[in-house]
Amino acid sequence: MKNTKVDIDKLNREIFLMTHGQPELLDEFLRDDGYDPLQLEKDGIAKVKALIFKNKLALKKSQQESLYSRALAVFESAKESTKESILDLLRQRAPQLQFNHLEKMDEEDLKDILDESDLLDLMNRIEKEDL
Amino acid sequence: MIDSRTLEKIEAIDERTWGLIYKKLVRYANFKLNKAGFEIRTEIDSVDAEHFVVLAIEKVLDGTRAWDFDRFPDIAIHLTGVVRSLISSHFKASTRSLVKTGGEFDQTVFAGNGDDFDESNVDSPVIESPEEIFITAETWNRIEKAFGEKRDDYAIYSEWISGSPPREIAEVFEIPVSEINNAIKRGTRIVSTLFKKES
Repeated sequence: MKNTKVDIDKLNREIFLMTHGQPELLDEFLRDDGYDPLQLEKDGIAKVKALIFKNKLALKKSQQESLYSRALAVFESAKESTKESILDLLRQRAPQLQFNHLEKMDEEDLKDILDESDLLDLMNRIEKEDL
Repeated sequence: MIDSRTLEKIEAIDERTWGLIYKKLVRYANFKLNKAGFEIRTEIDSVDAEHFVVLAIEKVLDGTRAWDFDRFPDIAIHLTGVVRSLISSHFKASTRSLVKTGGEFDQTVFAGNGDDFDESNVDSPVIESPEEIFITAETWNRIEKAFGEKRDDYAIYSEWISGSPPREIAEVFEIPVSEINNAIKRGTRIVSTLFKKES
Protein backbone atom coordinates (compact mmCIF):
# COMPACT_ATOMS: atom_id res chain seq x y z
CA MET A 1 0.00 0.00 0.00
CA LYS A 2 1.18 3.51 -0.76
CA ASN A 3 1.25 6.44 1.66
CA THR A 4 -2.30 7.32 2.66
CA LYS A 5 -3.90 10.31 4.32
CA VAL A 6 -6.94 9.29 6.36
CA ASP A 7 -9.88 11.44 7.41
CA ILE A 8 -10.80 10.15 10.88
CA ASP A 9 -14.13 12.01 11.01
CA LYS A 10 -15.27 10.44 7.74
CA LEU A 11 -14.49 6.93 9.04
CA ASN A 12 -16.16 7.75 12.35
CA ARG A 13 -19.30 8.95 10.58
CA GLU A 14 -19.42 5.71 8.60
CA ILE A 15 -19.20 3.56 11.72
CA PHE A 16 -21.90 5.73 13.31
CA LEU A 17 -24.14 4.97 10.33
CA MET A 18 -23.26 1.28 10.19
CA THR A 19 -24.10 0.78 13.88
CA HIS A 20 -27.35 2.72 13.51
CA GLY A 21 -30.10 0.13 13.86
CA GLN A 22 -27.51 -2.51 14.76
CA PRO A 23 -27.10 -2.28 18.54
CA GLU A 24 -25.27 -5.63 18.66
CA LEU A 25 -22.56 -4.31 16.33
CA LEU A 26 -22.31 -1.15 18.44
CA ASP A 27 -21.84 -3.28 21.56
CA GLU A 28 -19.11 -5.29 19.84
CA PHE A 29 -17.23 -2.10 18.92
CA LEU A 30 -17.55 -0.95 22.53
CA ARG A 31 -16.30 -4.28 23.91
CA ASP A 32 -13.27 -4.05 21.59
CA ASP A 33 -12.63 -0.61 23.08
CA GLY A 34 -12.68 -2.12 26.58
CA TYR A 35 -16.18 -1.02 27.64
CA ASP A 36 -18.92 -3.11 29.24
CA PRO A 37 -21.90 -2.04 27.08
CA LEU A 38 -24.53 -2.93 29.68
CA GLN A 39 -22.77 -1.00 32.44
CA LEU A 40 -22.10 1.89 30.09
CA GLU A 41 -25.79 2.05 29.20
CA LYS A 42 -26.82 2.07 32.87
CA ASP A 43 -24.25 4.74 33.74
CA GLY A 44 -25.30 6.79 30.73
CA ILE A 45 -28.98 6.73 31.65
CA ALA A 46 -28.16 7.74 35.24
CA LYS A 47 -25.93 10.61 34.09
CA VAL A 48 -28.47 11.89 31.57
CA LYS A 49 -31.28 11.73 34.15
CA ALA A 50 -29.19 13.67 36.66
CA LEU A 51 -28.33 16.32 34.05
CA ILE A 52 -31.96 16.69 32.96
CA PHE A 53 -33.06 17.03 36.60
CA LYS A 54 -30.39 19.66 37.31
CA ASN A 55 -31.33 21.74 34.26
CA LYS A 56 -35.05 21.34 34.92
CA LEU A 57 -34.54 22.80 38.40
CA ALA A 58 -32.45 25.66 37.00
CA LEU A 59 -35.12 26.45 34.41
CA LYS A 60 -37.89 26.35 37.02
CA LYS A 61 -35.90 28.64 39.31
CA SER A 62 -35.25 31.07 36.50
CA GLN A 63 -38.89 31.06 35.44
CA GLN A 64 -39.95 31.60 39.05
CA GLU A 65 -37.54 34.49 39.53
CA SER A 66 -38.75 36.06 36.36
CA LEU A 67 -42.35 35.65 37.51
CA TYR A 68 -41.68 37.37 40.87
CA SER A 69 -39.72 40.22 39.32
CA ARG A 70 -42.46 40.66 36.72
CA ALA A 71 -45.05 40.70 39.52
CA LEU A 72 -43.18 43.46 41.39
CA ALA A 73 -43.09 45.52 38.21
CA VAL A 74 -46.84 45.01 37.77
CA PHE A 75 -47.49 46.04 41.41
CA GLU A 76 -45.41 49.17 41.04
CA SER A 77 -47.13 50.25 37.86
CA ALA A 78 -50.63 49.58 39.21
CA LYS A 79 -53.11 52.33 40.05
CA GLU A 80 -52.95 53.66 43.63
CA SER A 81 -56.27 52.05 44.55
CA THR A 82 -55.08 48.70 43.23
CA LYS A 83 -51.82 49.06 45.15
CA GLU A 84 -53.82 49.51 48.35
CA SER A 85 -55.82 46.39 47.58
CA ILE A 86 -52.64 44.41 46.92
CA LEU A 87 -51.12 45.61 50.19
CA ASP A 88 -54.30 44.65 52.10
CA LEU A 89 -54.24 41.23 50.55
CA LEU A 90 -50.56 40.70 51.33
CA ARG A 91 -51.05 41.89 54.92
CA GLN A 92 -53.86 39.39 55.33
CA ARG A 93 -51.62 36.59 54.10
CA ALA A 94 -48.66 37.65 56.24
CA PRO A 95 -49.75 39.76 59.22
CA GLN A 96 -46.26 39.55 60.72
CA LEU A 97 -44.80 41.48 57.80
CA GLN A 98 -45.09 45.24 57.92
CA PHE A 99 -45.30 46.94 54.55
CA ASN A 100 -46.61 50.40 53.95
CA HIS A 101 -45.33 50.65 50.41
CA LEU A 102 -45.13 47.97 47.76
CA GLU A 103 -41.98 49.67 46.47
CA LYS A 104 -40.12 48.57 49.59
CA MET A 105 -40.82 44.94 48.93
CA ASP A 106 -38.33 42.75 47.10
CA GLU A 107 -38.65 39.35 45.40
CA GLU A 108 -37.64 37.43 48.52
CA ASP A 109 -40.30 39.18 50.60
CA LEU A 110 -42.90 38.35 48.03
CA LYS A 111 -41.78 34.70 47.89
CA ASP A 112 -42.27 34.49 51.67
CA ILE A 113 -45.87 35.63 51.31
CA LEU A 114 -47.17 34.06 48.13
CA ASP A 115 -46.37 30.84 46.38
CA GLU A 116 -46.24 30.64 42.59
CA SER A 117 -49.88 29.71 42.03
CA ASP A 118 -51.19 32.37 44.45
CA LEU A 119 -49.03 34.93 42.71
CA LEU A 120 -50.28 33.91 39.28
CA ASP A 121 -53.85 34.17 40.61
CA LEU A 122 -53.16 37.64 41.96
CA MET A 123 -51.56 38.77 38.70
CA ASN A 124 -54.59 37.50 36.87
CA ARG A 125 -56.90 39.50 39.13
CA ILE A 126 -54.83 42.64 38.64
CA GLU A 127 -54.96 42.17 34.89
CA LYS A 128 -58.75 41.78 35.00
CA GLU A 129 -58.99 44.74 37.41
CA ASP A 130 -60.71 42.43 39.86
CA LEU A 131 -59.16 43.89 43.00
CA MET B 1 -30.35 28.32 29.88
CA ILE B 2 -32.43 25.73 28.08
CA ASP B 3 -35.92 26.75 26.97
CA SER B 4 -38.96 24.85 28.17
CA ARG B 5 -39.87 23.51 24.72
CA THR B 6 -36.44 21.96 24.17
CA LEU B 7 -36.51 20.51 27.68
CA GLU B 8 -39.90 19.01 26.94
CA LYS B 9 -38.51 17.39 23.77
CA ILE B 10 -35.51 16.02 25.67
CA GLU B 11 -37.69 14.65 28.47
CA ALA B 12 -39.84 12.88 25.87
CA ILE B 13 -36.86 10.68 24.91
CA ASP B 14 -37.21 7.42 26.81
CA GLU B 15 -34.49 5.90 29.00
CA ARG B 16 -33.70 3.04 26.65
CA THR B 17 -33.09 5.47 23.80
CA TRP B 18 -30.85 7.60 26.01
CA GLY B 19 -28.86 4.48 26.91
CA LEU B 20 -28.33 3.74 23.23
CA ILE B 21 -27.46 7.35 22.40
CA TYR B 22 -24.93 7.43 25.23
CA LYS B 23 -23.23 4.28 23.95
CA LYS B 24 -23.13 5.63 20.38
CA LEU B 25 -21.53 8.83 21.61
CA VAL B 26 -18.93 7.05 23.74
CA ARG B 27 -17.92 4.85 20.80
CA TYR B 28 -17.75 7.94 18.58
CA ALA B 29 -15.65 9.92 21.06
CA ASN B 30 -13.31 7.02 21.76
CA PHE B 31 -12.69 6.43 18.05
CA LYS B 32 -11.88 10.09 17.50
CA LEU B 33 -9.70 10.42 20.59
CA ASN B 34 -7.68 7.35 19.61
CA LYS B 35 -7.52 8.31 15.93
CA ALA B 36 -9.29 5.17 14.70
CA GLY B 37 -6.94 3.02 16.79
CA PHE B 38 -3.79 4.35 15.12
CA GLU B 39 -2.83 6.59 18.02
CA ILE B 40 -3.83 5.00 21.27
CA ARG B 41 -3.92 7.55 24.04
CA THR B 42 -2.12 6.92 27.24
CA GLU B 43 -3.74 8.53 30.23
CA ILE B 44 -1.56 11.56 30.66
CA ASP B 45 -4.62 13.74 31.02
CA SER B 46 -7.86 13.25 32.87
CA VAL B 47 -10.20 13.44 29.91
CA ASP B 48 -11.61 10.37 28.26
CA ALA B 49 -14.44 9.60 25.85
CA GLU B 50 -17.12 9.78 28.53
CA HIS B 51 -15.85 13.17 29.67
CA PHE B 52 -16.60 14.63 26.23
CA VAL B 53 -19.96 12.86 25.96
CA VAL B 54 -21.17 14.22 29.31
CA LEU B 55 -19.82 17.66 28.43
CA ALA B 56 -21.71 17.61 25.12
CA ILE B 57 -24.99 16.63 26.82
CA GLU B 58 -24.42 19.34 29.44
CA LYS B 59 -23.88 21.94 26.73
CA VAL B 60 -27.07 20.98 24.94
CA LEU B 61 -29.00 21.01 28.20
CA ASP B 62 -27.69 24.34 29.40
CA GLY B 63 -28.44 25.87 26.01
CA THR B 64 -24.87 26.74 24.95
CA ARG B 65 -25.10 24.20 22.10
CA ALA B 66 -28.82 24.47 21.49
CA TRP B 67 -30.59 21.61 19.75
CA ASP B 68 -32.58 22.70 16.68
CA PHE B 69 -35.05 19.81 16.86
CA ASP B 70 -37.09 21.08 13.92
CA ARG B 71 -34.10 20.86 11.57
CA PHE B 72 -32.38 17.87 13.23
CA PRO B 73 -35.00 15.67 14.88
CA ASP B 74 -32.42 13.02 15.87
CA ILE B 75 -30.64 14.39 18.94
CA ALA B 76 -27.93 11.72 18.59
CA ILE B 77 -26.75 13.36 15.38
CA HIS B 78 -26.71 16.81 16.98
CA LEU B 79 -24.83 15.48 20.01
CA THR B 80 -22.31 13.71 17.77
CA GLY B 81 -21.53 17.06 16.15
CA VAL B 82 -21.03 18.62 19.58
CA VAL B 83 -18.73 15.79 20.70
CA ARG B 84 -16.73 16.11 17.46
CA SER B 85 -16.20 19.83 17.88
CA LEU B 86 -15.33 19.53 21.58
CA ILE B 87 -12.64 16.94 20.87
CA SER B 88 -11.31 18.90 17.88
CA SER B 89 -11.02 21.99 20.07
CA HIS B 90 -9.29 19.92 22.72
CA PHE B 91 -6.77 18.61 20.18
CA LYS B 92 -6.10 22.06 18.80
CA ALA B 93 -6.09 24.18 21.92
CA SER B 94 -4.73 22.09 24.74
CA THR B 95 -1.22 21.06 25.54
CA ARG B 96 -2.89 18.02 27.05
CA SER B 97 -3.49 16.73 23.54
CA LEU B 98 0.13 15.66 23.54
CA VAL B 99 -0.13 11.94 24.14
CA LYS B 100 2.24 9.10 23.60
CA THR B 101 1.37 7.46 20.34
CA GLY B 102 1.59 3.90 19.24
CA GLY B 103 2.38 4.68 15.64
CA GLU B 104 5.14 6.69 14.07
CA PHE B 105 3.12 9.84 13.89
CA ASP B 106 4.57 13.07 15.13
CA GLN B 107 1.99 14.29 17.63
CA THR B 108 4.15 17.26 18.50
CA VAL B 109 2.52 18.97 15.54
CA PHE B 110 -0.45 19.57 17.81
CA ALA B 111 1.33 20.18 21.08
CA GLY B 112 1.44 23.51 22.78
CA ASN B 113 -0.76 26.49 22.29
CA GLY B 114 -3.68 26.11 19.91
CA ASP B 115 -2.44 29.20 18.08
CA ASP B 116 0.46 27.12 16.79
CA PHE B 117 -1.90 25.07 14.68
CA ASP B 118 -1.38 26.17 11.12
CA GLU B 119 -4.39 25.51 8.90
CA SER B 120 -2.27 26.10 5.80
CA ASN B 121 -0.35 22.90 6.53
CA VAL B 122 -3.41 20.69 6.30
CA ASP B 123 -2.67 19.68 2.72
CA SER B 124 0.85 18.64 3.51
CA PRO B 125 1.30 14.86 3.32
CA VAL B 126 3.46 14.78 6.42
CA ILE B 127 1.69 17.15 8.81
CA GLU B 128 -1.64 16.01 10.12
CA SER B 129 -4.61 18.06 11.16
CA PRO B 130 -6.22 16.73 14.34
CA GLU B 131 -8.80 15.04 12.15
CA GLU B 132 -6.29 13.30 9.92
CA ILE B 133 -3.64 10.65 10.14
CA PHE B 134 -0.95 9.82 7.65
CA ILE B 135 -0.13 6.17 7.09
CA THR B 136 3.20 5.48 5.44
CA ALA B 137 3.86 2.53 3.15
CA GLU B 138 6.03 1.07 5.92
CA THR B 139 3.17 1.29 8.42
CA TRP B 140 0.89 -0.41 5.91
CA ASN B 141 3.34 -3.33 5.79
CA ARG B 142 3.18 -3.68 9.55
CA ILE B 143 -0.61 -3.53 9.50
CA GLU B 144 -0.75 -6.17 6.78
CA LYS B 145 1.48 -8.45 8.87
CA ALA B 146 -0.76 -7.93 11.90
CA PHE B 147 -3.74 -9.23 9.92
CA GLY B 148 -1.84 -12.49 9.31
CA GLU B 149 -3.98 -15.03 7.49
CA LYS B 150 -7.02 -12.78 7.44
CA ARG B 151 -6.28 -11.62 3.90
CA ASP B 152 -9.86 -10.72 3.03
CA ASP B 153 -10.27 -8.67 6.19
CA TYR B 154 -7.07 -6.79 5.36
CA ALA B 155 -8.24 -6.11 1.81
CA ILE B 156 -11.61 -4.79 3.04
CA TYR B 157 -10.16 -2.80 5.91
CA SER B 158 -7.46 -1.16 3.79
CA GLU B 159 -10.02 -0.25 1.13
CA TRP B 160 -12.21 1.34 3.78
CA ILE B 161 -9.32 3.23 5.40
CA SER B 162 -8.33 4.50 1.97
CA GLY B 163 -11.74 6.13 1.56
CA SER B 164 -14.15 3.64 -0.03
CA PRO B 165 -17.55 3.54 1.67
CA PRO B 166 -18.70 0.11 2.99
CA ARG B 167 -21.52 -0.12 0.43
CA GLU B 168 -19.13 0.32 -2.50
CA ILE B 169 -16.73 -2.26 -1.08
CA ALA B 170 -19.64 -4.68 -0.70
CA GLU B 171 -20.49 -4.25 -4.38
CA VAL B 172 -16.90 -4.88 -5.49
CA PHE B 173 -16.47 -7.93 -3.23
CA GLU B 174 -20.02 -9.07 -3.99
CA ILE B 175 -20.78 -9.79 -0.35
CA PRO B 176 -23.40 -8.29 2.02
CA VAL B 177 -22.65 -4.94 3.65
CA SER B 178 -23.04 -6.60 7.04
CA GLU B 179 -19.96 -8.73 6.29
CA ILE B 180 -18.03 -5.63 5.29
CA ASN B 181 -19.07 -3.99 8.56
CA ASN B 182 -17.85 -6.97 10.54
CA ALA B 183 -14.53 -7.00 8.66
CA ILE B 184 -14.10 -3.28 9.44
CA LYS B 185 -14.83 -3.99 13.11
CA ARG B 186 -12.25 -6.80 13.19
CA GLY B 187 -9.74 -4.61 11.34
CA THR B 188 -10.20 -1.75 13.78
CA ARG B 189 -9.56 -4.18 16.64
CA ILE B 190 -6.38 -5.56 15.01
CA VAL B 191 -4.99 -2.06 14.37
CA SER B 192 -5.85 -0.86 17.90
CA THR B 193 -4.16 -3.92 19.40
CA LEU B 194 -1.09 -3.42 17.20
CA PHE B 195 -0.55 0.19 18.25
CA LYS B 196 -1.63 -0.35 21.84
CA LYS B 197 1.24 -2.80 22.28
CA GLU B 198 3.66 -0.13 21.14
CA SER B 199 2.26 2.75 23.18
